[in-house]
Amino acid sequence: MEKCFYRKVGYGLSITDKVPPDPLQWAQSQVASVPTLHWTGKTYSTKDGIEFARKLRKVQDKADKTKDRKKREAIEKKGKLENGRWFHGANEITIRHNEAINGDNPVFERFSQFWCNHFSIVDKSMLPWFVTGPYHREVIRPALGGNFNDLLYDATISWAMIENLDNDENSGPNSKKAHENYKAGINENHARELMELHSISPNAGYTQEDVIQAAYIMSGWRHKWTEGRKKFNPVKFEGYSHQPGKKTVMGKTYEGGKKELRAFTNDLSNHAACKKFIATKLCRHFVTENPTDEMIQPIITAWTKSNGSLPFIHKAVIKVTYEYSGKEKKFSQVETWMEQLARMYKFRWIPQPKQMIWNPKYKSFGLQRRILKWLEKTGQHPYKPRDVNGWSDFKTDWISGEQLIRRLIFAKQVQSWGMKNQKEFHLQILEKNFEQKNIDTILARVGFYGDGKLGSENFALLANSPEVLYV
Amino acid sequence: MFNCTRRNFLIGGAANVFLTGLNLSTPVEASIGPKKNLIVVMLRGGLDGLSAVPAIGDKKFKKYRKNLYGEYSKDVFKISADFGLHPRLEYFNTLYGRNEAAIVHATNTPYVDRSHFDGQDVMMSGATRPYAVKTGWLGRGMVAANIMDVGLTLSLPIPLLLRGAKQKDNYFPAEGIIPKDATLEKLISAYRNDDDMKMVMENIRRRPVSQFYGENDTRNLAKHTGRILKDELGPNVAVFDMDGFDTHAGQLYNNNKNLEQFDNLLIILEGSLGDAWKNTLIVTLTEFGRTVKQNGGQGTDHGIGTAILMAGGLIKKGQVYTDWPGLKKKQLYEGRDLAVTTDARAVYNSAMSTVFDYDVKKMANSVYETQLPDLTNTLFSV
Repeated sequence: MEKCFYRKVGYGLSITDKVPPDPLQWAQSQVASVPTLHWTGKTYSTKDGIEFARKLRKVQDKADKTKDRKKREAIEKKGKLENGRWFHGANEITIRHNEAINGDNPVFERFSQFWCNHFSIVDKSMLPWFVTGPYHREVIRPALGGNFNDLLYDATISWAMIENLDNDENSGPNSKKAHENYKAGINENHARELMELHSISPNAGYTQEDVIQAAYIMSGWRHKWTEGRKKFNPVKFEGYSHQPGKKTVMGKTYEGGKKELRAFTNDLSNHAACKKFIATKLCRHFVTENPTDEMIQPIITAWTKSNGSLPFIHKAVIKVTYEYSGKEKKFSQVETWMEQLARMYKFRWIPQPKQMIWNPKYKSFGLQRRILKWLEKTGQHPYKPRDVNGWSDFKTDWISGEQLIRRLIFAKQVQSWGMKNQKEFHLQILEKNFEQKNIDTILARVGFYGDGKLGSENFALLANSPEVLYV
Repeated sequence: MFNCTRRNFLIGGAANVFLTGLNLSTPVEASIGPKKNLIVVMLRGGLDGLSAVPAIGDKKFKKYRKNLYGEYSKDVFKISADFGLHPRLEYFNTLYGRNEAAIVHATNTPYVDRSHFDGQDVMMSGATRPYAVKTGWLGRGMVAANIMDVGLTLSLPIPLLLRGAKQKDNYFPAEGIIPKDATLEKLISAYRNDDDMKMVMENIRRRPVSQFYGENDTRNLAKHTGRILKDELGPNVAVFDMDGFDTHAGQLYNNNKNLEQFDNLLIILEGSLGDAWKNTLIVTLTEFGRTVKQNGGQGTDHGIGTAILMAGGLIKKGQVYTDWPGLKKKQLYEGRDLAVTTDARAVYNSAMSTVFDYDVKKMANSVYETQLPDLTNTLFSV
């Protein structure tokens, strides 16, 4: 093992983190169960988020009827303030980073962030403002102590995902609803992505007819619709718009009704193509852009043996990462890189819980939004992936001038957030996280001042060195 | 309530911008005429051409769009006996009256399969089928005309539309302090065995300081774009990336927002371009149009034919350029979608030919590897 392992599966070791006597055990023990949140500040639930969205939508409807452009904007802005449009996302992002940077289970949090990206929610109007954060925290994270089939099912019927992939619009053509309203019909968006992106991938070889049948299975799973609250209600299976009768997907027959989705997602979870697709994706995230069969196979084996238990799958991923640390490098995504710097160098990045208090009269202030702002600036906002398939693990998607300029600016800035600059401090961090040969290279490039201090310019150089960007 | 979007903005609120293209001609060649600019506005999700530019003269239209059109029909700007403009295209309408805006209707790329992923790939690659080509028509057009993608493009990943030129860098005003040249030199040396990273670091070092600062919300981004394109020695291509046009539901509300945002963009661009507006061409680009008939969710589903909205001083005249296919059932593509009578590639090819001063036939050959009708004299003032 090489020391980059601490950054490959986690966020590196800080000045206060003990060097684990058994790194493999250190990492694997962190994924055995779901740790309680380290964050002690206030959290807002999915239910709260839906309520903010509902109220804001009402205001927007009113604004939309106003002809004058300026008045329209003023009404909308007031509604946004009153519902925390500028606060809640920032609060959730703060919690996300707090767990990774200040928490005791950084390896677990790395996996949690992987799955949040796997079950990506895109920037659809109000989701990133109110719902995506709670969805990550209340749906994805807690499921990681259990089995993949539960995670898949929970994510599929979550409020955020149904919205993300339009399943509200999916009604069976033979449903009662379709008989009463000739316009109702299927919308295969969610069913297709459930197969293509979330589980078996196109390598499973399904046909268009399979997708349609899967959409029939999913028909009726929607936000409960009521006249007063519209779609701002919890998700419910609605028999009225469900396609009645049997459905057949990839040769398997499902009997109809509410229970068939569970049977279907179970079958997807157990499909060989699902194991292979996700094992490959995990390797690509943690080990290398181009995983080999030798890397993927142990993860598939762990999956099969444990019947899809995520802790076992994660332990297998950690073992593979451990074995290939030093042999295989991967270009760091920007958010992970920022979190690693924040954890290793312990500068003031995360606001205190007492600073994260919402005041509906004001937009959130600078400190509250700092993490969010930097994620937006650097181009990897976890609530706004460009696409429903989430942020890419490929280097080519990350190497651009604009991105690297921001990494340079970010690294240059951290000293103003209280990062220590004594040579001794920096040598200790390097010693904990890098092999000696890499430390020598870095030190040959990065100079200290005569008084033994590291200037912000040189930290920008250090943080953007190949030894740091390729983990 | 939510927009039915599939693709999303990377940075900033409502739009992304990608700026690129420095003419590599020598100063002498460049001084032959004024610098011309091309701005492509991507409207992701599939713009409903019939919502932006309703076919008010087609008797069938109102039938298909009972309440969708009915809701705003009285506010529509009538620009001819046959066509109107959506009420939120207020400024576009003004430009139309000044002969600085025009529309191509019943148009699209050759793509007909109604998937966002595939459709957006084709709209940007300019190929006839998805994933067949790894570069974009704009990138190839710039290569053909010897306009190098050297200064500025934005973002992650570089949109397929611009891929093709040799060098890539991207631009988005950044606040903060850039490291010194000496630091960048060391990084260039550190990445000497890593071609991609080395090139990127070299690009950063070459960038003028004036291009580092600024706010990055949509308004400022558009303002900034105008200012940069105005510069005689600056880049001449900008790509805006806007989202939210996938209006399966709540189309009235969503398109009010979407079209207003586009309209605002035109206002800001014209203001910030100043005199350079005269030599600028703005064209929209979307993956497909939407069903002619409204669906059950007060929206429209994925379709085929759509409209291209164009503005700027290089527009020949206010017109709706179309060979209207009609909206009778048998005239619709597969009985549901507006048929395509103008190949959108011909519009973009002619636009590039006009702005890049490059022969339209040669352009079509090198960019699309086929011949396309020459629309330069019909649509643009050359």
